[in-house]
Amino acid sequence: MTTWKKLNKINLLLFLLVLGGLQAQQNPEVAGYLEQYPEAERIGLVNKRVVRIEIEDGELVINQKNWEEDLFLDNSASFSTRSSLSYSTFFELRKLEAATLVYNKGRYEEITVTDFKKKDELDGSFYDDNKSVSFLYPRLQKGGKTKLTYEYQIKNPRFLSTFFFADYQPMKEAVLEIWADPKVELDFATFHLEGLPIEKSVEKKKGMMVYSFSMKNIEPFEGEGSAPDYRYYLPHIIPRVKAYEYKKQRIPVLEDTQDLYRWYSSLVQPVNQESADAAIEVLVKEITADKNTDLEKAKAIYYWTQKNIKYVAFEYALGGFVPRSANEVFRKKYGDCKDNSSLLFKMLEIAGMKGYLTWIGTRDLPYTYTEVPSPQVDNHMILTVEIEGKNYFLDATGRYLPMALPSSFIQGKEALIGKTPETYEVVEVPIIPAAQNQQREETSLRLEGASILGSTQGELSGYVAVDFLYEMEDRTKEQKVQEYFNFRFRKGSNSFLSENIKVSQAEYDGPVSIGFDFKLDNYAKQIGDEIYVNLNLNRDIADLGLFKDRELSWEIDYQSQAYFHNSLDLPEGYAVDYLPENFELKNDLIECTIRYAMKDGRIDYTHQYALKKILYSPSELKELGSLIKKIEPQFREVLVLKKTQ
Amino acid sequence: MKKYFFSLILLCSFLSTYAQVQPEYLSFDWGSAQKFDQINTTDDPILGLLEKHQVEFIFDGENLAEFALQHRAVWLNSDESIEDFNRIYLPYSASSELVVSRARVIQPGGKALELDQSKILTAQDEETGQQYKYFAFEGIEKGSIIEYYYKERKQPSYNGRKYRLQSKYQVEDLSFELLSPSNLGFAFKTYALPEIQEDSVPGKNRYRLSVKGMKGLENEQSAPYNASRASLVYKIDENKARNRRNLVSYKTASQNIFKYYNEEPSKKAAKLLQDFFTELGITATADEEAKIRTLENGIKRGIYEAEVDGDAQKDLEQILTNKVASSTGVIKLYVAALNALGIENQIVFTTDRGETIFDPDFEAYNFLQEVLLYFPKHKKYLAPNESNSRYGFPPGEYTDNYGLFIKQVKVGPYVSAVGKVQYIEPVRADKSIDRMKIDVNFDADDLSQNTVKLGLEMTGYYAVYLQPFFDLVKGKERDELIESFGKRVDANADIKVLEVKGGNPADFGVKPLEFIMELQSQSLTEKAGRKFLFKLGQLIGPQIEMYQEKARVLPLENDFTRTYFRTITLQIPDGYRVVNPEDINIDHHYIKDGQELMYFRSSYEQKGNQLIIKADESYDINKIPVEIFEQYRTVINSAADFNKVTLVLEPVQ
Repeated sequence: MTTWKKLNKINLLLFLLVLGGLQAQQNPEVAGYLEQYPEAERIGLVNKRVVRIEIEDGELVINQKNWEEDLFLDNSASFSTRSSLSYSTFFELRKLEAATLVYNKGRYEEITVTDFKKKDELDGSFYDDNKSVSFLYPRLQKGGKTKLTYEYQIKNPRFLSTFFFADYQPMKEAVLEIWADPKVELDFATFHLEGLPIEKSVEKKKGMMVYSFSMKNIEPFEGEGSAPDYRYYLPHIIPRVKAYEYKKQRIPVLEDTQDLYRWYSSLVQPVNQESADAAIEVLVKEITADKNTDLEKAKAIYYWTQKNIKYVAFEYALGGFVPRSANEVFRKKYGDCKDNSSLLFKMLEIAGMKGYLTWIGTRDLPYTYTEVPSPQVDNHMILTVEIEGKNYFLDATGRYLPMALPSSFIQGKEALIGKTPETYEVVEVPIIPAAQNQQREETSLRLEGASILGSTQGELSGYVAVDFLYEMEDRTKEQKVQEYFNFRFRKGSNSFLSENIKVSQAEYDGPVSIGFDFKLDNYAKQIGDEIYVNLNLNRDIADLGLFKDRELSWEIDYQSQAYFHNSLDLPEGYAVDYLPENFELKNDLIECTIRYAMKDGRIDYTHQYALKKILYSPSELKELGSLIKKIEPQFREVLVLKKTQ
Repeated sequence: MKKYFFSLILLCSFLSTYAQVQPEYLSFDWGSAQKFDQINTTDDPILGLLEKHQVEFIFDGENLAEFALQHRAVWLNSDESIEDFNRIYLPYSASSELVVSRARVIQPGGKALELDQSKILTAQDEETGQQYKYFAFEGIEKGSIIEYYYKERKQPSYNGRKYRLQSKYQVEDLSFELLSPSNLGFAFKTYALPEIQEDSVPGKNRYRLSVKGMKGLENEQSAPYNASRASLVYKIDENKARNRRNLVSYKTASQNIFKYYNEEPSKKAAKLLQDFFTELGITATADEEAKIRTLENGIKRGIYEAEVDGDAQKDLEQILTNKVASSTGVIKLYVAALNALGIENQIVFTTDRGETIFDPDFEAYNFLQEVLLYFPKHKKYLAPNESNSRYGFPPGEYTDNYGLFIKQVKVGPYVSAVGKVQYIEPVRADKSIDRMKIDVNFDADDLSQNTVKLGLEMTGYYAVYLQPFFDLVKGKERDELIESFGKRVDANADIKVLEVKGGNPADFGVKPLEFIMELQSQSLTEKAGRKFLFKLGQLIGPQIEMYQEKARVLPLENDFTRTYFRTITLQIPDGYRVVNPEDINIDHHYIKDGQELMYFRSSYEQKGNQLIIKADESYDINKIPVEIFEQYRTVINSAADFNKVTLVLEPVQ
């Protein structure tokens, strides 16, 4: 405690020492990179992956080695102290070395990490084989580097992993090398590499074929909210083993979709060989007893499964690819996507219908089966059933989903339908048009001073109804319902308060009817003998203007449309002094109309809009932005009522 | 997972003369599934049928061992409740052992399906030392009952332990029982529960509590929910064999804590500490508060606080060398550094008042959860383990609450400590200011277009999430962050950032963080025939509203007290006049004991062609009891009302 006081006397000297000390610690490398990337927190100096594919006793042995080195450019360095790597049954972690390189007087001192902590990851599915190992980089500060070397044994040749040539930080160099036995045939699917200075080469070295891809001075990528998955824009390569030769025999691995399907099919064949338990048979008979057509029967079975089988995911090793038997799923009353498909398959079979296990990638995966015939292409399983020439894509992992709608997150994606153990079909799942996902409201309005009193009857359909029903699920108390309605059906401002709420749905898969009364305080304006009311009570579409300056696409769950009809009773003794003009705008991206009419002492206002895409590109968003600029003034048009004599 | 110092509490030696007894829970049986046949089901989505907690302390040789049993049965009557309960995770620490766990589903028909032991999975996390047993119930249908119990043998915890005995749903049969060797007496305190009943069984003391039809407690907006749930706290109190009472007190704890954190650093550590000061540029001449701020910024930005709590993360030399510390290590570092700088400090232990209210009348170590450092000279606090907090502005949840202050006492050459329970006063409202200065102009060619110059100033809790890190936010991210403040006025406006002041981490607590920007907005003014409606209120951004009337059950608690100052200068366009300026005037406030604790007040003044509007608001009180909830609502809503004030501009005749 006394040391410091002594220092007071040599204050000036200390001050000089501080300056000197700081300068001596500056790493000149940092300044150089900061000039190039002034906004970067760090730069990836090395990102190299070498994959060796060898043939041993007729099997492919795959080893993947990675080198990573990062240089930290600002004072946020210490926040990166903790790091972790994941591994699993298919990616067995063989070796892991980490170190900090601390810059000191012109050279780097290497401090090795010695303490590694393992963890069973519980964040993903309920039960899987994902583990991680975490560690702390000591003394990590601006000007310091982290160095990481790790090695995986890839236990199945179908799981060669994707290599990304960019990150959210700049990279000095990224290198992918594949050293393969010349008898191994490879394919490389590339994404978003157009226009980038990638260097490719193939050469023979030490009896191996060496495929090399490298890129230098890579700009950082920036993420944006509501953008599609990073696979939609980061440059990457997915390597794939097509086949290999052993003892003069060509052994196919993943040459094409047929190979992929053959493998998938071999994994699912053992499932559901046993006959259904009596309990399933009884249930199917019971729920289809009064159903006459296949479609009705299939609906009964599908909806029963949606309601009664809860989602719990198991992804342990190959178990991540193999559905459990229908009997087991039925008994447990829970399962994941493949388990539900398995149960649906069996139940449909009992009802005399044939369902087909179907592999599909959710919208996070931007690939087709032709581009990437490997397990990287899909991550989900559904059951396809064909009734009267129409394919239905059944996904019982959710609730309230009508048979005619696929899950919103597989719209527009390719489905790999397993028809027989040997044959399959690839079919595109439709994108459900906006008109089927609708919010429709009829509202009568009455003025009371500055307040508006209203009564609304409405209907929700398609995905709009599904979302609504999910939100309503745990709102058993009136107050919770009210809170939700005040937000979901808000009109005018946050003064909007709903009451007398009624919700009904005639059919499980039909539209939802809603009704409510509301009060909107502080909205109309009365000055002298004039009243001003803005009848644009819903202006949601204006929010789209926010996306005009994006660099990435904007992804939405589904197309939708809304229709609002507001009918205002003309207060006694008043006449319309100013009625705003009608407005209409329609193109491939959106639709928006606003109409005003006078009829029988009422002012009829209608507003309709539609979002006609599920993915808007940056240029489309720019266009949307200018369209919204045209719509906005319409929303600011105010109806003027004037006292008659 | 706070581990601070519990490892330091010396185990009392209980030395018993009693013979070894068997834990009660060995004989526990969950009974047949038929015991639930008579339940009265309702329309509710969920109903707790049974919740039993049993804790037993038993001598294992000279040491105490703890055995715990938990048994629950819940009737599930909705998809939500099934999905909430179909997976159970039972966490336990590395030092405990989960002995038995059984689970079954009783279907509506009465059929019981017991889960096979092979379905009970385990997982572990070496970093936190946490282990889990977890399982998924099989065969749940709507209307099923899930029932499970587990038994655990653990490191005994008797210095203060809290059990929360109320959840969101009603529980028909709730019970708690603690058994201890007959020479060891326990003390209890219950909160929103009946008193504990004490009796004895051969060789054991027994403490029991049982409630039939324990009501569920629903959460409410900004309510201290967890702190409001019914609970009990117990601690060991008496060792009859040695005729000692009051075994758990803050007296010994304070001395141990003080000793641990104030350990004289090694020579090498002291040298490293001096190097650290040099590195941070802590100059001897700087005033004391400046030193504290610099030290705190240096530690919070330069020393990584790890979850791992090994020796390396608690040793000063290693901390200063590797720049990695555990939460305990971080406190050690602060105390050593402050001592070396000669800055008087006290360690304060408290709780997060949203979770548990520190009870000044019951000394138990479960209240010693969160750590603050108190500087008596400046009457300010620093939260060593909270990266998003800075000197003078500790997390609000740790303030407005009691705490144990550990003060150094010197008796001759001896240095020791005393602990004193005192109130941690919250930071006052005038220290956290959100100030807006807004100049509005109308485009002469098109009055529906506005140019808005927006100046924002933030201090205290408003700045603490941003200012200490603002230098690390760069480029586009930085612009977007600043623009997000402008977008509160008009989400679609074109925004140009003009200036940023106070963007240096060292500025926090010294000067405000200031953003100045210019907005081109076309959403502020609406056209009504020949008149224009100017949405004045929109300038202050959307405000929290509590328009919906509802009966409040729980108090409302804010994290921190705060003040908003807003000055709007409106340049009235030539040839126009404001018809209804009086709509601006709003005044709602709440005064208690002559002190204005909350207010919203807006007014105007016309100077030539300028309308100058003030809209100020302040809340100098964190805890809003139900009795004054309506007054609070009125003040909150008046800001939301101001947000809707629209001025009518009409051409001058």
